Amino acid sequence: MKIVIAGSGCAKCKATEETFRRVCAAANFIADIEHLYDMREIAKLGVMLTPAVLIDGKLVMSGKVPADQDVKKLLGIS
Amino acid sequence: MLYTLFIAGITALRDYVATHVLTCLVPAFFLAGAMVTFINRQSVLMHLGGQASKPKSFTLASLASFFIAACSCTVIPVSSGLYYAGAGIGVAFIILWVAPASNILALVYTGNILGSELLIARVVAALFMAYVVGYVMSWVFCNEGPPPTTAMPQGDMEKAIGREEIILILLLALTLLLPNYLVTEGPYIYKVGVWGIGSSITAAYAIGSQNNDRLIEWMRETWWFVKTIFPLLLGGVFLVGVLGEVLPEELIKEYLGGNSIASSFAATLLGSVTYFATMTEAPFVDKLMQMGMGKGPALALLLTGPGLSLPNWLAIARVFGFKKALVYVPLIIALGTLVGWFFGNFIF
Repeated sequence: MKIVIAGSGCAKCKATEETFRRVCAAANFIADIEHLYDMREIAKLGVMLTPAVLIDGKLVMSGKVPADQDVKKLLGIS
Repeated sequence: MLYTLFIAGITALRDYVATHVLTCLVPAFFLAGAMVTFINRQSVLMHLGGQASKPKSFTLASLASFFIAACSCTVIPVSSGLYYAGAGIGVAFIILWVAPASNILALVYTGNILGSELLIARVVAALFMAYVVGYVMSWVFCNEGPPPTTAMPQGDMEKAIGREEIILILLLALTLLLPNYLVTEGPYIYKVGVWGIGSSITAAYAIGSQNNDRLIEWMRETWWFVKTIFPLLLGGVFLVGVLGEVLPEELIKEYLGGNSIASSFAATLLGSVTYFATMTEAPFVDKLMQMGMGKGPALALLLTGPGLSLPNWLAIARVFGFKKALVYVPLIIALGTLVGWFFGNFIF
């Protein structure tokens, strides 16, 4: 699974990446997590509200820092 | 020497904390958190993308910017996202300008610290500048085709905001405004009283109208604002205290006093280069006005302070291209100077 976090490097974007990494590590969930910083690329993805999360190319969340619970739901970890 | 400066900073901080934190900042943070939580920004933006006529899309973009909130760093993705989604260069730059220069949070805060006259001036001037920016940018770059657009993000057109959420946000805004407007004299504790009543009503309404998940999300977002803005604000106030000690009043009076074109230009330039996190511009302008800055230059600084900064120029150049930054930045500086001069001489 490929997870892309689109963020400008703002505090919320960093927190989003951390949340994903933490939840994945805790659940031994293997995913390729990448942080995309380039604003032009982010805009081209159709993202307007950062932090945004794309899983396998699909925009699944935008404009807020997810709670651990939200991440688990998105990744299908129970 | 250093000791005197430190004391000046601490004194400014103490006065500020004593008179602003409870009745002014606390409701402001809750308001900011509520706007992020209860306004569906995605839906607001989708409405913006689909407007064909310029007057309509410019007006909508200006109004929407009041609610997108916060500082120039968060607004760049919004504006570039809209641009690449085909919303038009005018709309993109209006958002880029209005959201930091005149969002609800900064506005109510300005009203609390500097009074309603400057508050109204700030709104009117920001809107006027927005239209000029929108038209100039569309006109200069009319030959340039739209960028390789991505499809407008799809999704069901949910309502931007519900009725209960509007009431909640209004209650929060009232809690923020009323202590200062109802209590104009007497001890500070009166303000605290008004604040207490407003907060209790708001809290009761929130608990009655929202479910637990939403309330928790609201608190989380509020806490984010506290974490990011509060340290900047305290640092800013400290710095303002120190600057008040260091800068001779004559210097302020000479360069920023009165309402001449020159002092308006100086204020605009200062605001356009320096980074002011949202809300920090108000205490700064307050201090400079006490030291002799004219009202016109004060308005110019209020607008360009949060609206434009050196890091912001670079980000705009990188995202939108060098040429657009080269038109936008001088345009804002020219307009800011003009607006400061005009309001200073003919309105205030």
